[in-house]
Amino acid sequence: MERTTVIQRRAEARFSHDDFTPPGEPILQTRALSLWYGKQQALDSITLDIPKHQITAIIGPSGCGKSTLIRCFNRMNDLVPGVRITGEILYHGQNIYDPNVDPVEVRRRIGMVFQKPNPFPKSIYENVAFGLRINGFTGNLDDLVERALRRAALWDEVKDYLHKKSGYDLSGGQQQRLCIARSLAIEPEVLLMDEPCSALDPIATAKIEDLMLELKKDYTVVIVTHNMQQAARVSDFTAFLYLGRLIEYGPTKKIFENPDKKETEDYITGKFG
Amino acid sequence: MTTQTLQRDRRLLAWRKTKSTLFGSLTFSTILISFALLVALFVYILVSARPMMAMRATAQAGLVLSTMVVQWDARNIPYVIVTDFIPDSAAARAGIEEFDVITRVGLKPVSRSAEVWEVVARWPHDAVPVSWISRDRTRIFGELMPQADPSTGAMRIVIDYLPEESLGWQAGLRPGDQIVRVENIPVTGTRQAWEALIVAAHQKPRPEPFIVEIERAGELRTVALEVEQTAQIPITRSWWHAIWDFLTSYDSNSPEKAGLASAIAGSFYLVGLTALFALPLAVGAALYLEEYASKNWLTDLIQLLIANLAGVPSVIYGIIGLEILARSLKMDRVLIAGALTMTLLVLPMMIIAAREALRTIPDSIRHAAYAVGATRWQVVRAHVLPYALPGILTGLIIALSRAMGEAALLILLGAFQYLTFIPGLWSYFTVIPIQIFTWIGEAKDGFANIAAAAIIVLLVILLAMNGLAIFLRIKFQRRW
Repeated sequence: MERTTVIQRRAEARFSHDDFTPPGEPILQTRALSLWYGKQQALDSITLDIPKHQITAIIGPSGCGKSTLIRCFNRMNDLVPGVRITGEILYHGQNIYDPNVDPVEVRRRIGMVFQKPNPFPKSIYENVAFGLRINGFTGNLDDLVERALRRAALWDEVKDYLHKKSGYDLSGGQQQRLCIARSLAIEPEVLLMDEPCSALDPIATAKIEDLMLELKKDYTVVIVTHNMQQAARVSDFTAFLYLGRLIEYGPTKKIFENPDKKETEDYITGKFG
Repeated sequence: MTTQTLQRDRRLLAWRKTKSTLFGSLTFSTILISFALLVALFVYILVSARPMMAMRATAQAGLVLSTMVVQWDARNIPYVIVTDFIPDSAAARAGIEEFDVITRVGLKPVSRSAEVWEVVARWPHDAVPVSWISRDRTRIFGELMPQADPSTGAMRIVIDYLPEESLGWQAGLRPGDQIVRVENIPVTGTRQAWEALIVAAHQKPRPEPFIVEIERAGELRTVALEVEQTAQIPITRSWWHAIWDFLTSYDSNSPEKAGLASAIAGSFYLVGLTALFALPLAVGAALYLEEYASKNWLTDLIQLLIANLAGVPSVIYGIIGLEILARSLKMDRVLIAGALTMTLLVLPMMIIAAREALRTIPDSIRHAAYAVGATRWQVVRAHVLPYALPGILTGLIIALSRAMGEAALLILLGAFQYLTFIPGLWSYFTVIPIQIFTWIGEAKDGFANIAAAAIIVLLVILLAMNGLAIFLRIKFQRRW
């Protein structure tokens, strides 16, 4: 009984997204990705492609598995005890869940920014330099730190007290941009952002959003957001997740203006969520 | 129906409220009473420790005293005797010599050395009037000889030899006189004459001549003998000097000289070594359990074992130390064996404290480090450990302050030595709590007072350690 429903749901899920593949070269591809926390299934057979140099938003109500999904992309879920994953995630065609793959290497190439700003309780400089140091970057560390801070649009605000102020002395929005700088410093290809603005005020949010559009030129950005307007404003493609399943995936404009699925429409129009 | 349910609920609520008030007030009063008792005890100890300073000051002035007992009329009558002659002291300059009997201090008759220290501690001036009877017999009665009365054959006590400079000669005694009574106390033996003076001096409210009845050429006479001498002896009560002296001298037979030096050194060595052994083990174990180990039955078991080990009485660890380290491994009862045993005792506590400290580091920090490609060791090394260090150190210090106050374990291990040197790693040793224990067991007056002083020293050290722990916690406290 249980088994048949799972199979049915899996079949439905397959059907639902097979009709959309984003144009251009995909950088990340999930293939029938399912995830369990202990006995509870959080993701159910998700298959979608993330296009290169685009912003892909993952939306859905709380508990739909969007954070879980984005954490799969850089194997952060490995740190959760009792997690079990089936299916594949292909990064440039290579399965990152292959037993031969080192998750540390994956995380070096696929950076992540978290929901709550989480700078290290160290100086601004050390926050950014940490990733460089452990990854054995050679060359002028000061230049690399400056470049990362400039890219995160934080340089002008902090350049005078790089060593004096702790990451904790900054405002929330500055902390989040510091976290972005920290991720960018090690030159990842993909930047995962897990509700990066949920703890920020509108002005800080606007700055981060501008930044995302800027970063799109050099990086691939995947953003999870609770805020549909934000997804509409910044993203190129949007995936709608509900109860661990991918309901609909397509260009943002289409998802917001003319969704195929009723659940998507109900969520977009605020009937639930 | 509904109202009934409601009412029952209300009664239940009232009962709950009563219960919580009851338990609350019980807890509150218990804590208050224990705290009040503790403060009272502390004040009592402080008061008992006060004579310690007077004790060292009087010793400095040349009055190293003991309480001796005269057996008199089936009574034991105590008196104070000078047990040590310090040549260049104030007392020696005033004429007091070894074995002289101190009769009055600050005009008050004294019969125990503890009374002397009490009086000196309270005396408002620097010079304390001291009265004494010189033990030098030649100065009072000369030499007494028992002789048989040629007519009756009864035994009598006769002055055999009396130099002219003696007190007795000056009062009118001459060789050949028979001493009959001293202050109405019949004298029937040679020692008794001297002891009668002591007993009589005891009963006099102030120094006045002693009435000695003698028989000379068959007739009774009375001689007034001024035996007590009085002088103002300067006793400079420099408290700091007394405290420093106490902290830097070794144990001794006389409480005025006994100090805490070996015990303090032993305690600090022991605690330092314990920290050296226990800290890496505790931090390693806590790091493994919190950061590396997966949660399974084995780690659960380890956790259970640690919690249980933390509750094992220290005496049990003492037996382990004695049997395994001191005897089986033939280390003997040395400082390093003590430190290893102490490590066993504090390790579980320190592991628990270190784990608590590691748990306060939020996962978001670990995730942030992992997300930039850090390995587990890099995360621990660069972030988790440094941020948890103040908490770990706080736990360490609190566990060590328990080790500092621990006596039972070390008594079993035999750290119960009379030391007059600073202990080394492979030598016998003693620690402050054990020194306190030893001193309290001493019968001699004054040891109780220096035990009280040692308790104060121990409490001050513990307070300093806990203060440091609190300081570290406040200084490095971080809200995540």
